[in-house]
Amino acid sequence: MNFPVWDVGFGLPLLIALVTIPHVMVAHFAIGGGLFLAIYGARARSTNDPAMLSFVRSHSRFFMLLTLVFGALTGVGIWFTIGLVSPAATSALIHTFVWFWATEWVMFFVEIAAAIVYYYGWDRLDATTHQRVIWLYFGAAWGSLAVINGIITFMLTSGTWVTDHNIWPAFFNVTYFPSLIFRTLLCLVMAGIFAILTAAFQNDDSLRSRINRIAILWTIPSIGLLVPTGYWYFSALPQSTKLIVSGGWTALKSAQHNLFTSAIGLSILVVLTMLTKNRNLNRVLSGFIILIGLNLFGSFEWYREAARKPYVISNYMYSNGMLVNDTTSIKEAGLFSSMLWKHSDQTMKGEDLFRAACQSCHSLSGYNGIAKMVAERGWTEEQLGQLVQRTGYFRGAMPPFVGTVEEANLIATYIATKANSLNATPESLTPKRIWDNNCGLCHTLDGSRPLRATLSGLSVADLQETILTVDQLSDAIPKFFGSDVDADKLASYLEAQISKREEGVSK
Amino acid sequence: MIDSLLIIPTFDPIPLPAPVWLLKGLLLLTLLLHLIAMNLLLGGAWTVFWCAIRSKYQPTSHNGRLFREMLAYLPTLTAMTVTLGVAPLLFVQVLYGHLVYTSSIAMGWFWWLVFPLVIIAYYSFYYLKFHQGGETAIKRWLPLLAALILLWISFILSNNFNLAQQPERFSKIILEDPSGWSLNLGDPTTFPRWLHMVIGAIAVCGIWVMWLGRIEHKKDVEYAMFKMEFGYKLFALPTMINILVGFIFMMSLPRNIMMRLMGKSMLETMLWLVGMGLAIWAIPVLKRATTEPQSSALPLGTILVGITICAMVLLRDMVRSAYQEGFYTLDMPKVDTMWGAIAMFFVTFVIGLWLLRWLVQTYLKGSKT
Repeated sequence: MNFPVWDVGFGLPLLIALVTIPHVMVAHFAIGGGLFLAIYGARARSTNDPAMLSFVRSHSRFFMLLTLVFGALTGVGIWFTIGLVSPAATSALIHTFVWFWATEWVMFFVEIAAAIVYYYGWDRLDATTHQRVIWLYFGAAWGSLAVINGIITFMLTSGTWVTDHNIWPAFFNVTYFPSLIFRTLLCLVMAGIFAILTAAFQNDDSLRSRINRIAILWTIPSIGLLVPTGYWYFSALPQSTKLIVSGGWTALKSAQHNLFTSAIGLSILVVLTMLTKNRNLNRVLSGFIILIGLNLFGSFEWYREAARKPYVISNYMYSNGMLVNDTTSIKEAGLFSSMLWKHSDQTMKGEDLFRAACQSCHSLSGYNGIAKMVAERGWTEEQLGQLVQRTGYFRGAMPPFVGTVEEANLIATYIATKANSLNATPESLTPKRIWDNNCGLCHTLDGSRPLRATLSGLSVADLQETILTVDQLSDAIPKFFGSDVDADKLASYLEAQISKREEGVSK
Repeated sequence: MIDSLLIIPTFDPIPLPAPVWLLKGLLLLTLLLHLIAMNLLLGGAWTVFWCAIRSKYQPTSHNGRLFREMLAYLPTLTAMTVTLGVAPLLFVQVLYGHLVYTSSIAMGWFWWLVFPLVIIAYYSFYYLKFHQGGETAIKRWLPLLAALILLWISFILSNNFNLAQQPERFSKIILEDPSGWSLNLGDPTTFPRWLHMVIGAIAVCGIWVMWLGRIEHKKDVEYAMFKMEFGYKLFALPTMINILVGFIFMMSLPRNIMMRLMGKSMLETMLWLVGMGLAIWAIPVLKRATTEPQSSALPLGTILVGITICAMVLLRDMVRSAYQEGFYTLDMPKVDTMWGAIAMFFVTFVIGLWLLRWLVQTYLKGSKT
């Protein structure tokens, strides 16, 4: 509300993901890879193993070029991107954690300097000093993670900070340690898979096999330990967040599924790489391993961000930059009056409202494209207006809409106009689609806001009547959008779903 | 319909986590360090390009040798410039975030593209460094590409921080085009301000080249003298041009701000005069260094230019305050000092400095026998 919203067209969250996911992957490699270089450099030197030492040296060049340039610069890129995408949240975080970030900056500086001295030091420094430098590098890199981790987890679990503004419990919040260990394990996994990548380009077959065997030690146990650590991490989440996670939100479920399949896929490919002796096949497999690693990070980061919804800083600021504490005053004043960035041209009111309330997360027809969704689902402008008023009830955990009915309708008109211009053919109205378009936005049968118990035992006719008069039950529920035939289809669908499960239980 | 309302976001409701003097001091100190590294990098990139053209990649010519010598520093200088840039970016967001975020959003894509472009320039330097010997098409164009990228980035940064102090321009840019493909080009200070910085970078790079000559002096006198002469030319001519550009920049400032530099504010006028005066004084001093490379002329000239840069950093900050006088002063936000966190930073900072010193010493000493 305080800042303008940048209209990138394809969706701001996608821009964040584009920068964050590759950065986070490389940044974790920057830590784990540092440890790898330190350990195997020391081992090669103590056992007088020139082949291994030569691998460590060539790996260090790749390591330096990837982490120091791409890793460091995309890290700065995250600064740039979050300031553009979520300026209010970035401002709040910087005002709260500036000294932590400044501390992290010192570590980052030492890390960069140590990486440069280590790489250029191969021919200038004696073995002991060279090893000291890489250990120093690793310490600074991990320290940097330990600091940033506090800020990232704070966004997810801010604890009592919202009321007491006490910085230390905010930093060492309930997910701090599980996340730190989880991420440290990911660092080890990254060290292993990037070692496989550089080993694939070694001509010495026996050396490559050795590295692949070593890489297994770094990846498989770490992936195994990710499971209990992930469970610990999940257990530390507040109940409200767990509800979102377990609430049957399809996108979140698929991220969870992706996370597990990536971890399993990665493990299988790492073992396969060890078993194969063919260099070309090794290279192909190592490429796939890196891609799956990227998918693993993408799923994890997406899952973590989604679990934070509807907030960008839990219990303090919604994902559209609105402060939780401001909702009452905005409700009283009206959304448009509370907005800073608006045109004097009244015909643009709907667009201005959409931009302020929705566009931080939604595009029109790109990522999270709301006009596209409206066109595909065939929602009417009236239905959309009703839904906009009730965003706070959605299972996808959206911020509440704090504007007036008129403002919700203006947003609906704007989106509907854009949806019409897409000329999309609405999907056919199957019973499942009727459920998704009406009840399924907020309810599930068994997960969040479950309906099974309430609807169990009702006949199709009772269900149909309930559906057609559903808006009389509560102000939070809009009227049913569909014909009597649609209501009948939905009633039969619900009756079948409920009895199917009951039959299953009784059997 | 074009909107030109004055829209200024409010500053963050969370109090400043430290006294303003501390945040401002760290902002100016780290900005100074960033600017010095940036001067060497930007000036260095253009000098490397110049030497590449002049030498036609003949490694034995003086220009060819200087090309390789300076190129070797550029990746590390890029790392230093970026790393030293992160800290002032952090502190400027604490003190002026509500203005900087808004101006950044106004030029969204241009601002966002800064870091992918730096990545390209950075990899270009590494490519050139690791692929020496023999002229190829890619090696002919990469120095120019990298130098152009850095020049463009300097323009974007200058443009953004210039816009951040002029919120009266926000609404027109942002409401007219929220896609982030706008720049603050209508402002008369835009180009003089940027050019002042860029030309200064070339001049500072000239001093660096002279230092490279001084260090080389005992090994290869002829090559050293070439560097002293070339470095001096890089310093002297741009500095003279920059005095003129500086005047144009001053004249393009809003009248009330310009008058502050013309005597209305004694401190600002003094800083301006000292900065300009020392830069002019450095010209004959550095001229002397070309004939007496080992004399005190070069250190003295460097100190004079160093003081000029300090004065300009302070003056730049005062001009920003003057721009913001009517709508934002640093006594407006509340302050709630986090002494514990500040102590943590300073302890880490001292340890970090000690470690950096150890790293640099260790590397320079070279312990391998």
